Amino acid sequence: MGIYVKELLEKLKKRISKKLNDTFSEKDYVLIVERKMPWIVTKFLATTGRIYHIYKDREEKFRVTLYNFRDDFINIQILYEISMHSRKLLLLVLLTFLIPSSTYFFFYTKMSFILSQGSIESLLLAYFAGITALLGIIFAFYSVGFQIATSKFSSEVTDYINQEKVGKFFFRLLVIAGLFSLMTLIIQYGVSFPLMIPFVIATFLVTFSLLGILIFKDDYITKLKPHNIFNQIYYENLKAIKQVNEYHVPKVYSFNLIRNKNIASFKLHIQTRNSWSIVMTHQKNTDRRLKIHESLFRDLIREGSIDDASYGIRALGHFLVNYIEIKHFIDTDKPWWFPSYQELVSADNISMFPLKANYEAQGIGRLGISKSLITWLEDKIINQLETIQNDLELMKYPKIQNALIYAYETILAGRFEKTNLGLQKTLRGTYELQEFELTERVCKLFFALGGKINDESVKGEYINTLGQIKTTIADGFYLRTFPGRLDDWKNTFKSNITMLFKGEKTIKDVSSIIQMKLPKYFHEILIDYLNRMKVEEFAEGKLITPESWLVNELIKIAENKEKEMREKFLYSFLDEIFKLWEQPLENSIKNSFNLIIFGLFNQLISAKEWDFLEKIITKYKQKLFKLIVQVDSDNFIELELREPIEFGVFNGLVARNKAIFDFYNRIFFLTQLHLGTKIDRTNPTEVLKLARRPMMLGALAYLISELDEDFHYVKEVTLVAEVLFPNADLGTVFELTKDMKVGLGTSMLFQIIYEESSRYRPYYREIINSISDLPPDIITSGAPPFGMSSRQTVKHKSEFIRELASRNRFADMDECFDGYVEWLKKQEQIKKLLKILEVAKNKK
Amino acid sequence: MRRRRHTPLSKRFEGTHFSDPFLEWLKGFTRKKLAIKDVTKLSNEVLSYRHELFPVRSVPMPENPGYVRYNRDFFTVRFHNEKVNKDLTAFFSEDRYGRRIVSNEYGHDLADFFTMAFHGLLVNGVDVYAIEWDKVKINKRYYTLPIAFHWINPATLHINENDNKRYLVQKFSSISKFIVSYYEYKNHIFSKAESLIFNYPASASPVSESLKYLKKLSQGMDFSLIQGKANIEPKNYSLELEKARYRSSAQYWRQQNMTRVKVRRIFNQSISGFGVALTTYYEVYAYAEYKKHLNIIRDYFISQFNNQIMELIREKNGFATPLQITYQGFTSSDKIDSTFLKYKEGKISVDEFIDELKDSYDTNTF
Repeated sequence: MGIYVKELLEKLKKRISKKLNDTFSEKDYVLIVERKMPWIVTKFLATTGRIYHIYKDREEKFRVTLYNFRDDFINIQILYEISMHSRKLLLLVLLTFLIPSSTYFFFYTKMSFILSQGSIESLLLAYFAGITALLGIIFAFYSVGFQIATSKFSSEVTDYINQEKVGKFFFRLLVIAGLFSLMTLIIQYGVSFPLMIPFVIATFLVTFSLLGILIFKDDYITKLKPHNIFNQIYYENLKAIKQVNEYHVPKVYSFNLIRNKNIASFKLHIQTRNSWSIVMTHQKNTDRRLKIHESLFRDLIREGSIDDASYGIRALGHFLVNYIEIKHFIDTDKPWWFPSYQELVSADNISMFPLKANYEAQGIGRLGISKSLITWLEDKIINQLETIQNDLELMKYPKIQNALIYAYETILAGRFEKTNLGLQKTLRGTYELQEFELTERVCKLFFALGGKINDESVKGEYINTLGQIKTTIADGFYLRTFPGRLDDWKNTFKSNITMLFKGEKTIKDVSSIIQMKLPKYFHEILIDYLNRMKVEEFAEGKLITPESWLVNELIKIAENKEKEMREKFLYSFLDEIFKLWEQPLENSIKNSFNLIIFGLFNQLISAKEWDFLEKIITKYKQKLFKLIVQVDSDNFIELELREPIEFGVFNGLVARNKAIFDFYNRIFFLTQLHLGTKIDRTNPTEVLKLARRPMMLGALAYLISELDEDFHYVKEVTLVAEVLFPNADLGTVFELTKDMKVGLGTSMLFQIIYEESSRYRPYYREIINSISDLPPDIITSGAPPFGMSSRQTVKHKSEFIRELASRNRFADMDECFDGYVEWLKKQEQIKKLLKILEVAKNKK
Repeated sequence: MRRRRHTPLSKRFEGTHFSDPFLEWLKGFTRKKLAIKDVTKLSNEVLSYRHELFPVRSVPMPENPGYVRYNRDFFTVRFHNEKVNKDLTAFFSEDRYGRRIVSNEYGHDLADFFTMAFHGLLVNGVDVYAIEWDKVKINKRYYTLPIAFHWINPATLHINENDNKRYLVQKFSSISKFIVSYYEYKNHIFSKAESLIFNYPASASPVSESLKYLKKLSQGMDFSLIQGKANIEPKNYSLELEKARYRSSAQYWRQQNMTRVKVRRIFNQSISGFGVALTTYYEVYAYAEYKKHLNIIRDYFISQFNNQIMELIREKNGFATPLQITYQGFTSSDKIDSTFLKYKEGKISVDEFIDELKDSYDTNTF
């Protein structure tokens, strides 16, 4: 017995110690999905999970019901439209009715107006009969008219037209009015008192049904026009994309957003973008509508309605940029708007390989992972445009070519519209919206189109669009809201960044950035850096990165991106221009390329993009010379190429960029030849202005050469001038032009001074003003006993600069001319001396 | 003199490291131990980080170009007698490897010893050793030196300090004695001269501070597993699975990565490359803090070693002047601060910043 108890105790001890050991000792890690939970917890989770499932299901259904209700409710607006459109008619009816009737009431004061039960019965019967007859007649006409009008369209287009809301609403209104009258009539027969309220409602319904005929007629006729079908598709697509993005459907619907006009006011706010069924329905419908759009286009081409069909191409361009403007506000995590597809996992993918090997070992096929088709909508539109462009039959029509150019221009450069503020850009292009991949794709299509244009009238449009695209790309991230105004992006972006933080805390979230409605790249980097700062806040309890550092960093990143994109697109732009130039095109078109290229150079000069311009000029120098040389004088004058060339040469000189200056300097003298051939030689003012033109450049080059102690500029000007005018003594020629001015009359003199001052004086002033930054010095003259005088000047090695700095500043340009002429004369003297020495050497 | 590991000369030092499951569980040491078990938790933060205190460096061999020698000679003993200097520096350096095991049960030299002590501080916040002294003959001279540091399980330890007298009491729990039959538990008492105590130079150990984030450290992975289960079991309506059906994993992964950054900042470690984007400034700042923190820990270890051990060596060997151990080969905290300031002012780039902060052993590394 004792042994048995001892054994029992031993066993008990073992069990207890094992249990305790299990409790206290370290446990192996168990995966979360393999953890065993007590029965009661499992049951609880299963029950609450089912409740949660039901809740989510009901929530989704409720959202859809609410959405459909709102959609139906909006149809009530048609009643408002009916009353608004027929208000004049109603007024007229009332007046014509009231004026004669009031006379009765005036003369027969004891007259009373009572509707008896019998009269209501008769009236209701009349309502019912009238409405039924009307319904029958209209329906018959509608069916016939609809069939005739839509016979040229394919079945899907016809189905689409048939779904229009106004017609449906009108027929529904007629049926309701008829049925309501009938029901009231039946009840009226059964009761012994007049049913006044139902009668008034029936009268109201019948009245609106009659008035509705007017709206229905207009709408019916308008809706069947192809333009309007395209418009309807466009607006329905626009509505769909507005309901799936967070900008138009914000998380929190606030008065602040309404005040900022970010979202529409007085709108039943439904979180449509959170509903998978609403978003996916919108996606499918948009996809379907784009197919209908294509079918309609084909139907119209088949019917020979090229004008109507071309409208469809333009509408595609408009819709695409509207979509790109808000695309980055659509949630990409959920595959609702962006349909998913299976991408095969390759064996090279090391991280996925174990999964792939295990999956494929089952022999059920290759492993694929779900990916979202982010560009499905752009692909669809671009493919439609590409198909049209590659269709040789279609490309015979100038209207189609024009429409394609229009669409590409809208997509790439946006569109200016006339507003009360003037010509204003209301639609931004993909480049301004910073959707660079799409820009690249559309640019390729646009340039490919250049080679396919065969109609002369369209070529001009193409050149204009080239110019628009060039301007947009060269502007970089600066936004051109009005043709002549560039909005600085840096300050706006800076304030956008600083708005996110206060002290050492972040005060905004992603929704706030969305409401800023920034272009894609700015939006993405702002969200990226806000998220980075959120990590700091989480890890440290405060922000570590100083705001100033962050602002500088983001501006630097954006500047680099701007530079990268500008250079990438402008290089491909220039390549394409030169490719087009090599094609057999009319001279007028080829000459226009000069205007575009020099316009581009002007933009780069204004943006102080000297390095990039230098790179372009170095890369395309030969081609650029060829391009300018082939322009004849007539075209040169007509295109006013003199202006951009002068702008380039003087600015290049002031900026001391030798490569740019040398390039422009050669073209500048070429300009002189063109101007010389077209000048009116009987007009001395014109002749003198032209003769003095090289001196304007030479004198400025001389001034800069003296100031910088680098005579490259003045030598370069003189060298090119000597090549063009080989036997002329430039010093004497320029001295003559300088002195001739004095002998002219006041009027001519004023003309010359005015033009030269307007054109060239700012460049001179910039350089002369910079002289005053040099350290001051004193020039002394005279000696005792006659007295000494002194003048203030600057410290500089050049006698000319010191003299210039001490003189009256009014005659600064003339002093430069004098200095340049003196310098030229000295050069001539040296040349003569060298010749004499050469001759003497040869005699020996 | 050669000894087997874990075998002290005196039986008094036996079994100080024995595990006491009950006390460890009661005092929260088990949770900390579990926390460093795998990479989804804190193993990288502790097990890799401890080697960065005194890392093994590759020093080029001038006599054999193209080859390197592994080296951990960071320490020098400072004493007025050059011979004693040499002897004791050699005693604490790796040169003794193979002839004498200097320090503790796990390592071979002082760098190893500090590495393991650092591990203890990171996990438990306290690391305590019983010191075994003996006569050691170096270059024909006898010294009384610490021949072994025996780690004492901190869960079983009571430190009593009265009137500058300190003694340690190690007492194992009766429950553990009852449930574990493998160990022969024995309580210990060690005097001040026999003990070496390190405390983490902050309020709590990084592992203790990070315990509350353990669940978040694997939330992305956990959510993906739950989501996978929800996909293959469509009829399972358990709340966790049902919730996973309506949520995206991206947010969970982001939260997980953010928590990893937070935990690494608690450990004062560098924070780049953990799947979450950070500003370069913050990365540089954290890197500077990490380098400075390692300096703080090194200074702490050396100062404690000098105060508690070198002072005893001086007393036991009858040296009149102070005896100290120093270390070299790392960028100073002042240099780190001034370099960071240069970066902040935009005078240097990130690469230049990293280059300037390279420890001297780095600059010689192949």
